[in-house]
Amino acid sequence: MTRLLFILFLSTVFLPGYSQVDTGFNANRQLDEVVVTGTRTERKVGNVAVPVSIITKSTIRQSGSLRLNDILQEQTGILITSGTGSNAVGGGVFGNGVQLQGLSADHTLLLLDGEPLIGRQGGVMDLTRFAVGNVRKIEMVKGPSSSLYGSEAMGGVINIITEPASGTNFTAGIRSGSFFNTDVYSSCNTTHNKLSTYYFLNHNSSNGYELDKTTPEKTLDPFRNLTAQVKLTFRFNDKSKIVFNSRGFYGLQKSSYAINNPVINVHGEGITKDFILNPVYSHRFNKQWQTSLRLVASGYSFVQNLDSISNNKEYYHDSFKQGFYRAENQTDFSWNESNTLTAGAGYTLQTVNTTRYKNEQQQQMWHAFVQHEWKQFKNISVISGLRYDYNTAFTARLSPKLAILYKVNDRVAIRTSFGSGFKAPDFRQLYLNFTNNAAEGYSIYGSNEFSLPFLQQQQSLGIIAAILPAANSIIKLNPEVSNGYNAGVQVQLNEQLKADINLFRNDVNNLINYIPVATNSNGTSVFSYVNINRAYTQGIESNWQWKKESVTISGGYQLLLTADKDLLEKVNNKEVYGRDEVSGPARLMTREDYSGLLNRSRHMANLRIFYVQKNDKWNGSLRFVYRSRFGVTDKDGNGFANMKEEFAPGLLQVNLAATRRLSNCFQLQAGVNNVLNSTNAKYLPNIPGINWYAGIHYSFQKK
Amino acid sequence: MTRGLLAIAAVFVFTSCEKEKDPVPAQVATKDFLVNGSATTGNYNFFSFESAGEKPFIDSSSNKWDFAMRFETFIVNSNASGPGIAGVQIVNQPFDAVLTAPATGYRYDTTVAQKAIKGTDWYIYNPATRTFAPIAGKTFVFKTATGQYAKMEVLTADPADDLGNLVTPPTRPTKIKYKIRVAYQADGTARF
Repeated sequence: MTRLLFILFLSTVFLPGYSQVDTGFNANRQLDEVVVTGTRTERKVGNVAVPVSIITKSTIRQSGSLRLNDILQEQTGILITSGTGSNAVGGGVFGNGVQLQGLSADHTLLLLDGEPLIGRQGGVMDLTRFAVGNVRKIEMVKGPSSSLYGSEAMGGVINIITEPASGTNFTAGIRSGSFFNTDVYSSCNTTHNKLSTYYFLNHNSSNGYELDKTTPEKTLDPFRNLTAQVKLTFRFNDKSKIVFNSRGFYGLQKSSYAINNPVINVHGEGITKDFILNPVYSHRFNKQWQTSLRLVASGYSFVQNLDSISNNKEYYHDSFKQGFYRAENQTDFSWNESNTLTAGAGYTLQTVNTTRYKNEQQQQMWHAFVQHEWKQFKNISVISGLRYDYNTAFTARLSPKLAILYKVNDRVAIRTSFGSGFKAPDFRQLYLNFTNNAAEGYSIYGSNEFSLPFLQQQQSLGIIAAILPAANSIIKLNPEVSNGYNAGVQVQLNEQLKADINLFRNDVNNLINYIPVATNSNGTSVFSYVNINRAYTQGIESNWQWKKESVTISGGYQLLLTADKDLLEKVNNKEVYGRDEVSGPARLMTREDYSGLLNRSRHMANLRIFYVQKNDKWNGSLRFVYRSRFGVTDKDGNGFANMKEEFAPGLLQVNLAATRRLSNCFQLQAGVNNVLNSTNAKYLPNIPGINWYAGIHYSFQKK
Repeated sequence: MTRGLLAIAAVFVFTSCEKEKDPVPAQVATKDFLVNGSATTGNYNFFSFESAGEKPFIDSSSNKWDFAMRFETFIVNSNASGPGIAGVQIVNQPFDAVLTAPATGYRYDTTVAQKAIKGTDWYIYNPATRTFAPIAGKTFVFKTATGQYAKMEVLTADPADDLGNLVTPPTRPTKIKYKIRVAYQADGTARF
């Protein structure tokens, strides 16, 4: 590897130069950046009434990020939740999800070029599935946005926008680093008359890593991921075009376990595949009218097979297959300079088939939305919107939105918004039909699989001892809903310094949780799902940026306070006890003891320094990311973390990257991530220890 | 009216008599209790407050034990479960705050299906992590198999192997290791 890099390094010196593709760090121009996610129409980010932020390609490049979780975890107010690594046999939490404004990972909608990504397991979308080499920018809208996007957009929306098919350019690169991590990629854009073609290929592999040497298993076993994207744009004329976007992903995750054994005795692999086919036809009739027709067909599958090493017999098999098909029209009508009406409607079919449900399950959904944007006096913008989602599996939902932007002057802008969000009950909450025949012997039924007559029959057979009163409360599930309020000020203090502060509050109702509905004769419980919990998340997010010539320093901070409302009420009513040590005496818990929802850090902060040399020969970045301690478990049965052992300690990560431009086409990059080697094998297995990388990037653009 | 006054007087005399006697302190101990980790098969493990320890299976049909556990199933030595007269109730107070056993309210294993204690009474089970957490502030108050009073709290409940070493997934536990705090009053009174 090293020799290969050296040869590449030498060869660059003698190659003729072409003009480069990349522009320098352009954070100061961000107010003029065009975004689509906030309103589903192209708007300058400074003119959008909802809180929107952008991660540019140059930031991604200068940070040396490869996967979506790498770059998202450095942003203010974003927390990457950790799965159980490769060491989860079927159960537990899958992959690395994303928390926005303190809402859990299943409450953030992830979009790829505006279309929802599928393949959530246990509610979590694994961010490592997404390479960022083909990403042009990432837009993030915080706060509930179901008025435009429907289900899952409770905490916010993250829209990954890939490179457009246009022009003629080519990039390729290779990078290698710790844990035998290798990343190879290439992209190409070609244009012939009306047709532009873009492709992107990425292969990423690693030998995994070990954080806890006392266990025979690795923290992360070896894996390889392959991503391919092809995007075609055909421009019929100035007014009409069709963009055909397609993506495919193949991921192989090795697994090995020491089950009831001091050494590895079970091994196998999990294979994740996904694809998306997404043709979009858009037509602009005139200055006032434009319309687009979007079609999506996407699929996701995860199959895990584990065998015993001694006899090669199957130890565990799990499969999960999901399909998503949508047709949607959106039409925009601007009848004058100050009024734009956006309306759309669509149909969605979703299918899922897994070893844990009885049959293939299907859901059909219809939705319609309308949004009005009103601009007045050049400094006021008001967005109002409403969306209706109807569905065959659960109750319908109406999601409103109202957002106001007031530009006090050239330097100060005030934003305030109210929005409603929802998340449809997920498949397991509806269709799970699972009895653990191993030691525990408990059962869980999704609400649509639950049947009181079946329990009564089991009771007459003596399998069930008692049906609890809660069994009568199992009815058709409602979506989980949230109402979010955001209010913020953005100030350009002087040429160099700008700052913003945003206050948020989300009231979440109808959270779905499992409750015991019957007791088996052997003492174990039967569970089903109900809309039961109420919670809130609130806090302050603040960002500032200072830029002078070649240095940009930005910082961010989020204060986050959360609570399960019913539990907090019980604490205030002096009904909840807890222990200060694992085996210590119980005592009454007070408001001060209540730490809020698990897996939330009260304080999160980041500091990022980017340097770009004037002639762009060098650029580099130094980034600090901190999260304070967070509750991880409940050992004393009171539903929250209060004793030291129930918290994971705070963590500071320091990442470094440096890029040297050798010629117009060639760049060398090297970096060290997690310089302080801050790890937590048990609760943050997704964060590897100190690791380095070095790579070479080639780019060519025809003018 | 007269009867009422008499009753009050009787209570007064009774309580003042009690106060004159020096109370015998209950014996408090913290014990590990390793029980069968299967909810469906195998034997229960039996516990005696008097000896503050486990009793062998051979004593299962005697009144030498007070309660027994298998996985998180809880039985008491009475009616359907044994020849004793043991009853139990869960009081919503910390262990140290329960100074007197209630006079009434004890529950019994009336039938195999109607046991005195249900799992949902005293712990929270998390199917995602396959662990259960005993709820702090729940104190079990017992009338023992021989009619004495005892109290108990479950401090921890951890998946373990046969030797009592704690295990984590993917290793399947064969035992549950409980840490319990018990107090036994041998003098026949209900005070701890």
